[in-house]
Parts: sequence; C-alpha cells; structure tokens
Amino acid sequence: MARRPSYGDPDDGHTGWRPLDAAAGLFARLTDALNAVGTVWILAIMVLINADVVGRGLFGAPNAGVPELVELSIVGIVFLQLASTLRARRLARSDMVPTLLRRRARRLGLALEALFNVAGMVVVSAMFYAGLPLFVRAWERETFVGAIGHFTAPIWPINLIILIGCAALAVQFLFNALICCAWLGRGAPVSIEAGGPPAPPGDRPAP
Amino acid sequence: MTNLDIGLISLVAMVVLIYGGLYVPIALAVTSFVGVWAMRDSAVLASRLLAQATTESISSYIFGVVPLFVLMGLVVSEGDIGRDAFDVANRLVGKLKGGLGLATVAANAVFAAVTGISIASAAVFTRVAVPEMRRKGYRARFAVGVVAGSSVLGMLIPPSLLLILYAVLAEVSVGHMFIAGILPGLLLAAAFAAGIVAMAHRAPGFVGIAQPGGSDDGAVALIAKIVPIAVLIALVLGGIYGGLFTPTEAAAVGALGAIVLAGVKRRLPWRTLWKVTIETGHITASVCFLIVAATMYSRMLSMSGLPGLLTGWIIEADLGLYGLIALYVLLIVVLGTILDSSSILLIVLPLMIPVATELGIDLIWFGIVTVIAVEIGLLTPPLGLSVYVIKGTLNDRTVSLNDVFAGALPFVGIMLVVLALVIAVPGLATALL
Repeated sequence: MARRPSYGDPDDGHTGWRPLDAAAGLFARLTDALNAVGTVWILAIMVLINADVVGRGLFGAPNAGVPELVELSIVGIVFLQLASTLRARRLARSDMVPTLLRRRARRLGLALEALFNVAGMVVVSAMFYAGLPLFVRAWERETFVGAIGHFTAPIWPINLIILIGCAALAVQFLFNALICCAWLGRGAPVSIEAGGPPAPPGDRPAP
Repeated sequence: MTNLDIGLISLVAMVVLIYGGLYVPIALAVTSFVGVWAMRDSAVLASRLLAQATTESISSYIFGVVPLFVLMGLVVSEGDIGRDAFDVANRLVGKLKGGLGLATVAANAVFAAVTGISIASAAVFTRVAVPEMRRKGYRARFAVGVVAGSSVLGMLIPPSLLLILYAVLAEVSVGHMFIAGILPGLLLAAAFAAGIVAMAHRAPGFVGIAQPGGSDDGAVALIAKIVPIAVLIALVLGGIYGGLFTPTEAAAVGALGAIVLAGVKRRLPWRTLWKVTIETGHITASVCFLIVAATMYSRMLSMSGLPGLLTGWIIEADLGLYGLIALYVLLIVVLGTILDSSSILLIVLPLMIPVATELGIDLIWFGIVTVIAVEIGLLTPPLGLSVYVIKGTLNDRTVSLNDVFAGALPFVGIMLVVLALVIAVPGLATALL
C-alpha cells in the first residue's frame, strides 16, 4: 500500500548521529536535484507533444521524432524520480505488518525494516550491474532510435540515466537501512506517535 | 524441482513478502530474479531478464499517458474545477430530497471525465461537498460515504489510470478500454443516485434530516463555471474518440489545457504547479517501477508454465464462466484489503490474462470487471485507501475512520450490484466499441 511506512524514512530521519544525518541531508539535495530535472522533463514533454499537435493540425507540419522522444523520455523521467519517490514514501507497499510491529514489537519492526531496505538495495544494485553493459554497448556502437534521414536520437543518455537512477535509489535504500540501524542502536523511541495511519490533507498516494 | 514447483514457490514467497511489508516492486523483482535463476540455473540469464525489463518494459510511446493524465488530474484538483462542477450540480438538483448527495455524485461523474485518479476525487470532494452537506443537516456518516462512494467513478469514467494500466498489462488498446469504461461508469453513477434518493426517503435516520441545498447562481455564472470543464472534456475524450488524437496526445493537450484554464482563473500559482508536477513525478515513478518489476514477474511466470497449469485446473474444475469470475472478483477484493489498486493489477493480471485468453474471455469486458472489483477494495476495511484519504483530508476528530467505512458501506453494496450487472450483461462494456 503506497502509504507512509512507520519508520526508516530519512524525512524524519534525524537519528541524532550527526555524520549520518549530515550525509543523508546532503544526499537528499542530490535526489531533489534529480527530481527537479525529471519534473521539468514532464512539462517539456507536455509542451513538445502540444507543439506537435498544433504543428500538425494548423500547419500540416508534424515534428519528426516526437513518438521516439516520448518513448525515451518516459524512462528518463521515471528513473530520475525513483530515489525521491522512495524518500517521499511513495514506493508501493503494504504497511499493515509494519504498523502492527511498530506498536507491538518496535525493535523487531526496525530490524525488519532495515532488512527490507537492504533487500531493495541489493535488487537495485543488481539492476545497475545488469544495465551497465547495455550502456557501454549503446555508447560504443552509438545505437539510436528513429530512422536515418528522418529523425534519430542516441539512446546512451537514457541508459546512463537508468544507471544514475538505480545508483541513487540503491544509495537511498542504504541510507534508510542505516537510519533504522541507528535507531535500533539508540533504543529510545523516536518521536513516532502511535495512532492510525491516515494521510495528511493533500496527500495522494499512488492509486 | 520442476519449473512449476519453482514458479509456485516464487509466487508464494512473493505474496508473503508483500504482506510482510516489503516494497511491492522489490518483492516482485527479487522473487522473479531468484526464480529464473533457479529454473535456468543461470545467473547471467536472470540478470539479462533484469536488464531487459529495466530498459524495455516502459520504453513505449503509450506510457507517455501516465504522467500527462496524472498531471492533468492533479491540476484540475488544485484548480477548484471540482468545486465548479459541484456548484453547477447543486444548482440543478440540490433542492431535491437528498439533493446534495445527488449533486456530489453528478459533480464526481463530470470531474471523473477530466481526472483519472480516485484518490484525487476523494480529496477534492471531501473539501468541497462534505462541509456543505453537513451545514445543511446531512449526517456526517452519509456525507463522507457519498464522497467515498462516488470517488470511485474517477477510475471507471475515462481517462483513468487503472484502465491505462490494465490496457498495458493485457495488451489491449487504451482507447478501447476508455470507451468500454463509459457505460459502466454512467450506470454506476446512476445507481449511486438512485440509491441516494431511496435512502433519503427510506432511511432518513442514516441520511439526516436535511434542508434543501441549491444555490442562487444565475444562468451566466453557471455557464461560466461549466464551460471550461466541458471544453476540457471535449478536447480530451472527443479528441480520442474522434480519432483526432492518440491517447498520449490527448493527455498532453488535456494537461496543458487544464494548466491554462487554472492559470487564467488565477488558481494555479507557479509554486503549486511545481508542487503538483513533483507529485506527478512520484506517482509516475511509483507506477512505472511497478510495471518494470511486473514485467520480470510475468516472464518468470510464463517460464514456469504456471498460467498454463492454472488454465488446466480451471477447465478441469468446470467452474463455468460465472464461477471463475466470482472467484476472481473475490480474490481481487481480498487483495484489496491490504494492497493498492495498481499493485493488485500487476500481481493478478500476469497470471490471469493468459487464462482469460485461453478460455476465450473478452479482454475488454474482463478489464472493466477487474477495475470495478479493484475499486471496491478502495472502500473496504481494514485498509480502504479512499477512506483514509477522506479521513485525512477531513481533519475532523468527531468523524472516525469507522464512520467513513460505515458511510461507504451502502455504496459498496451498490457497486457489487453494478458489478454483477456488468458481468451478466457484457454489452455494457463492449456496446460502444
């Protein structure tokens, strides 16, 4: 369920352990930057498609390559946003068991949370390594989409963005895991109020 | 171990991990990766699958619709377009008995034609309709129930994120799914309206003794409020059905149209636009990452031969079409108690689409049945997402979570009736195609 997990989230991730807090804060700036690029990209795609529609409708002059660009862009947009999505607690999950554990067995819950984040890190790292040769090949062979003479776009930038996105997501998982561990180490409850999980106003989890 | 055994073990492990709270895409990816590795005894092959899913599964023109329709939906939510629709509906039917309930359903149906997310509808109408209904003497339970019930129209009446997702997973046309959603959506709205009128007459204790609603807006004010929405709907849906736009183009035009509209009305400061676009990015990333993971999972499933086995079982069990559909709906509703709609689709469809195809079931109709069943999960305890959103948006301690669930209950009943109708009369989904 795409709702707020109980802990292991860097947003309220002030563990009190300064180096970790500082590093997580710094990394948050990076994910925000990636997120901003992805956000501008969405608006750019919107404008591009509209320009194509208008060009085609009014002047009979479609922009070449719009479908190809959209195809590549959607991958770029998604991978740029992933780390930020995890940090904003928007990655889909069911929070029934975590919520239960938070109330009944806090330490077990934190340990499980750390484990889940490590699992995420491992999977996404595997995606990174699996994607690496694809990037190298696209770079060396200068692979492109489209048709020569009509419109072409190289695909290596997208492969690169996939790698960047996977790396950022893996590091975000790592930070989440570390923060859980830090809380486990401290033992004292961190300002997590017990209570139902209703989302705050304006909060729209992934449908 | 045979491939089937491995496939089954992976499936069970995946369900356990997801219930335990592991991120859904991670659970799908890890069990598929290990499953393929074990079946083919090759880590290289398994990671090739991983790479392929990462780069290829969402790299398609049609996925452009996801961020653009989500953006459009969020912009119209911010732009108070829901309030305009509610004002107009209130003026038209507010004076009837249960009129504000009717107005909420009508406004939601109209709003649903410019947004594709139930959650957005739930949040908007909690702010717009609930205070007005309570002011006029409707009981809180009824007021939130109406909003919860009618919010599901957002996913059935096109454009709809769930219909898009289904189309992608079942490899049918997005445009066809959109058209198929129209009649069932209107039928559901009509059934909600009939239910509200019936409750207002027969169960005034539940509805509350209310003063009539209505407003004094003049004709000019009404037209000024309804025309922009009508233009947006005409652009988007008319564009698709008229064959003028592809769904992706319609989404882009609609998103820009909504931004211009809200901008002209001075309801969309730059800061808000930025905020909703970030939100759009998060929803898009979340949904698309699920699709990436589901691609691996569905490859793993087909390698294991599990869908074939399942088809065999189902034919052997001789359930008949209705028995199968009943079980299927039950499965989805049960999953809906803990999972969000898109996760359910991604888990169930790779298993069921091959079965449905094999049995010669119409995939368009099957999709509408699926989406209505999934939407029921939004309203049922313990974890009905719409209900939580309403409770969160309402921010009123006197209305408990149980009140919202109780208020939504009659509407769940109505949805079940409509679902049964769509199952019995497939033409409801396919007639307009």
